[in-house]
Amino acid sequence: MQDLYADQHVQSVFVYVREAHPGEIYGHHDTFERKIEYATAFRDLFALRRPLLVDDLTGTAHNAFGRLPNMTYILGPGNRVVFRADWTDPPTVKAALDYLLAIRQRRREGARFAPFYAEIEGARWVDQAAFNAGLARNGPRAVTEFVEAQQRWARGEHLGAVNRRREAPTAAPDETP
Amino acid sequence: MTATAYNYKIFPPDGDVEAFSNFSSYLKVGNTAPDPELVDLATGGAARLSDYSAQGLTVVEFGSLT
Repeated sequence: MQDLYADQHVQSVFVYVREAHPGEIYGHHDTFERKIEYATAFRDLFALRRPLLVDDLTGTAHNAFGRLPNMTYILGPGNRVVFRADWTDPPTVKAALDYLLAIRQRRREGARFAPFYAEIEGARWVDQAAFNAGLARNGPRAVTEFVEAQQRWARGEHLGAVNRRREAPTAAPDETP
Repeated sequence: MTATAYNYKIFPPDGDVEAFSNFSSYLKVGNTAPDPELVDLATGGAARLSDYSAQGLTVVEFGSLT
């Protein structure tokens, strides 16, 4: 994707964070050196061409951006957030970039735009095979623990917090009689 | 959050559902994102997201081997 936008001054970086599913082969990070070692393995495994930036051992950047395993943000000058998603979906990121770049282009051409706030309900395609392969690569324990987590979710455990995510914040008191 | 708690050895029973439930309620579009110091794997030197975002729109993906 970075090649697609190379001539439009779009930057693309990857921030390497904690191992979401530690296993016997790739476990948790116990030292920063280990984190660098795994980040290097990640870069080589996926032939990553984007700059790879490694977060510190306590996850300072990861925590500050929401601590989810595969988020995407698009930042503008001054680190202004112009897009954020709790999971990475390449077609959605591309659609957002095309939208943002088209507005910038039309503004340069003299069109007048007023800023406004919008949200969208995302839907991402789930590449289950690739995800399962990743779990297996980290080690058998990563596979087992995720299967067990799926069983807990299927039983309805821990869903309260998930559902709260979809609920509107507490409304202002109703002042009508 | 300590390094030990953050870098859990075992996938947490609730899948860190707290982070999922909190995501939509802070650092919204229009906010200024934090700019902590990161390490550029290619150089081993310090890098910040603002080094990139100063040059234009910057796609920032977070992730790990899984």
